[in-house]
Amino acid sequence: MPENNNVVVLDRLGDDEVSLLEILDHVVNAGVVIHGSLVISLAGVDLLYVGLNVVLTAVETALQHMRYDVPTAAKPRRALP
Amino acid sequence: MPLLPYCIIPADAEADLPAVGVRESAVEVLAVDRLRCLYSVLPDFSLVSAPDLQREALRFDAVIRELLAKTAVIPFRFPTLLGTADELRGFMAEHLHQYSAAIKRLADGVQMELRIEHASFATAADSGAAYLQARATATRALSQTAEHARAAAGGLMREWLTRNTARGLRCYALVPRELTAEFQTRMRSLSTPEGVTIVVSGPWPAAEFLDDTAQHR
Repeated sequence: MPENNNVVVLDRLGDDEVSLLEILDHVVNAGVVIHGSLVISLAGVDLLYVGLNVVLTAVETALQHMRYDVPTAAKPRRALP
Repeated sequence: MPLLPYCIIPADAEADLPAVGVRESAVEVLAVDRLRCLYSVLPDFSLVSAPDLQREALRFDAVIRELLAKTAVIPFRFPTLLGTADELRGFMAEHLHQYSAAIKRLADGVQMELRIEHASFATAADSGAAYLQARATATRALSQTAEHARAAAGGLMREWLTRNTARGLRCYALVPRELTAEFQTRMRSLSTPEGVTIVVSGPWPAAEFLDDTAQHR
């Protein structure tokens, strides 16, 4: 089987579009999830932990219609049993 | 006012706290037993555009990355918002044992990643048989590449995970912080079969090596 060296090492994260997407994917999709935390809603869509593409899509949808701010007095959800 | 937690670090971490975080707010510390949780108070948190989200996500990442250079980090997902410091304290207290164990286990390990993809995964085939043939060939190539990468990493890593993705495989290596440059060097020298590409990234917080109870999936 023919072999190549198609290896890219992102050793300076954030310097280009590929590494930027890696960063955004990590911060949105990796890490601790807290049940019962506030839900950010944009354009009526609950966005607690969703993929990056869905977040960006929902933001763009919201921009088409209105400006939406997270209410500072919003009540947290009840924790899941 | 909403609190946005960044991450959990050991209480005895020898790391300076980042000065500013999301929305250029101060990064504050909540101490609970052997752990610290870093967070910001955000009196006005709004994400009104994709560029806003991107900018604040990068600021969030910058806080994580600054700490990761010095200590074990368990990140929260962005954006996580809580109502009060008491809620955050309560969450930390409830999961103290899990996170303390995770921090101890991760110690000085960071996560290096390989995104291994094959061009044929994104290509439509002319027929079902051709698709299956191409898929089988690609799957073999991906698996072999992952195995070669794992072998090349050898004694550098403590643990290795492989997960399937829509375009191929994603491999995660738990590597001591001081060996990340060596890991990158070894990955650069890998040969890849026709059609296979590898993107190596990291270091990241070792989120994939947290067990499910610590991540609360």
